Amino acid sequence: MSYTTRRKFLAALAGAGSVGLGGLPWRLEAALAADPDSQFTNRLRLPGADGLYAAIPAKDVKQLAVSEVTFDILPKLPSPFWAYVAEAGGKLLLNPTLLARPGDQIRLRMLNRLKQPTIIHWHGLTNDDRNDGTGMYLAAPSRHYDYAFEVRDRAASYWYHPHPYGFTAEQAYKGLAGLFIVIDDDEEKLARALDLTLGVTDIPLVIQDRSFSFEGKFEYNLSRDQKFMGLLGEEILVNQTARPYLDAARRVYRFRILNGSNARSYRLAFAQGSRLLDYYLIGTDGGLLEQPRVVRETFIGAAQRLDVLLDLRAASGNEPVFLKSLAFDPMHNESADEKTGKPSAAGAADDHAAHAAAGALPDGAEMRLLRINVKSSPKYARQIPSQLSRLPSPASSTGEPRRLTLGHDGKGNWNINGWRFNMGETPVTVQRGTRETWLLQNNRASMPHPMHIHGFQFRLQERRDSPTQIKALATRQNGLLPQDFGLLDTVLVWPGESVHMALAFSHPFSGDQTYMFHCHNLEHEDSGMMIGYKVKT
Amino acid sequence: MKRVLLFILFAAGGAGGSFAQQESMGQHGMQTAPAAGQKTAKGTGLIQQIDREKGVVTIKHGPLPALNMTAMTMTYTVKDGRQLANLKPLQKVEFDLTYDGKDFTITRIR
Repeated sequence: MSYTTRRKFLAALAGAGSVGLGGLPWRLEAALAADPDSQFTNRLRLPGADGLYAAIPAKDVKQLAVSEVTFDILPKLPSPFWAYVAEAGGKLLLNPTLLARPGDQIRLRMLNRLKQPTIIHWHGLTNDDRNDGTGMYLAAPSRHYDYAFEVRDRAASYWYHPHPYGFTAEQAYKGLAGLFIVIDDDEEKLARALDLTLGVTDIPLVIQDRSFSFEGKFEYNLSRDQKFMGLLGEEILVNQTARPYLDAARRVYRFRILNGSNARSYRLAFAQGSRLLDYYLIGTDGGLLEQPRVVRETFIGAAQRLDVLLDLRAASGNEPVFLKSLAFDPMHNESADEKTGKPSAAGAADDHAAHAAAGALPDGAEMRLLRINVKSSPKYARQIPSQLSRLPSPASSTGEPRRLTLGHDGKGNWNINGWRFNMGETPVTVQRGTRETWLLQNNRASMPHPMHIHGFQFRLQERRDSPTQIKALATRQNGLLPQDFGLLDTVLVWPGESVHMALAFSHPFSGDQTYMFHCHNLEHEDSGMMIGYKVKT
Repeated sequence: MKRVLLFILFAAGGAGGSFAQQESMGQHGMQTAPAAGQKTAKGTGLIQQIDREKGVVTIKHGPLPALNMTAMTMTYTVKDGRQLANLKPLQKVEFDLTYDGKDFTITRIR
């Protein structure tokens, strides 16, 4: 019995048992409880003046201490929590929301107070390899690492998180992640037009799934199966708040959504009762789209960002609105037949089953993430602008695309073109200043992979052979999804699907530069689904 | 095969906090404690879900050696449903779990 077949068999048993003994798994029932008011009782944590996610100009931060602190993730239950800790005006900031403008000079020291090596990756920002946080440079315990870079990218919700190969998943899971928000004139214009204020009506939502011990402390115990599939947690946290609620006015809100989960994808929708509300997709990883796009649901893979506007004037009555993840096929087709795409006999039973630890919310399950209480409020008459920004033209290449295939070896190891990560090796070399198309082909015998490139943002040109649930959301333009029209640093590629990425390898850094290209399912990344690539001068 | 399947499921549950049943363990007649005599264990756990109408609570709890139970997540009937009034999901609780040879019942929870 191959590794994936054996795993499928065990997962099928667990899946059958969880349902067969009494309907829905209790975990799923909890997520969909008929009495949501009794479930969502914790006020959503928001960036404030201090504490978690406090907002501060990035250029004012001189040190981030990577520390284990004690933090009440669950009310009145102190838990060990790993955080980037900054001090400002005598206050402690945990995972501060760093604010910057293009051109800002960032000079800060990362001090490692953990007992394992670490490094910060500035996810989405254009940096040289010394400042990118590729993992080639690390700070050992009790040592520091100094960053010095200029913010060169357009306004967007970037983020920062650990990137030490082999330790990334655990460190991120235990708390290390923060937003790096770049603001420019277009952003300020939008904020003025809609009267948006960060932390009040412009709200970051960091979605992460986590598991807690019976004492209410974070648990990160990785089984062999979870190493292969990625960790799925038992609770969905939004801004480190379990079962959160937000009191909102009847007006337009901006939500900067980051999927900070290690492995889980979501199919995001806003629902009032059984009615799905339209919302406006206004931005992606690399900032604002040119125009808002009206959507009702959007997939978001690990590490991706979606910037959306929700007009709560469209909500009726006082019934709460829920940010939900709608049910979807998580496509765990690892043991499918590669030629036909059909499930193997042993794997047929659990294509939709939970794959992670017993008790985890099944991948693809419908679940509520955030309750939004719509309160009466003063009249709000602002209109969503029809034009948001201008995007740089996609880099088109006339050459043959560079093919990169995502797959596994049947022994529990994911790879890219058969390559597994080796520090110091760069199986791909590109010439600085050139343009390339990268054709990512995810095998049929696979699962969804959120693929992230360091050093450069890209545009998507085409999706091919997308699964039905993706095709259903696609536009008429080359099978692209609404979020594919933005600047991206991460793309979720589904089993059997191919995507064409347009890349321009232009940057101002002298000398050869080495970056990473990898799956942002962090358990995949840590186990070798990553390659280094060299940008040669 | 069905017997083997159930064995695997319950073994997995005992090993690490598994899928819980919709009803209390006792109602499924699980054979984890002696049939005769009443036994009580004191436990600590994290509430996962409360159903006040049915008077049941789902708890992720630690080992209960007095009942020969490992750490797991289970749904239990609460003898006096009024004890659920002030409890919330994801709250840490201490409880007494009694097994009478047939059913498991929480007799105290706070």
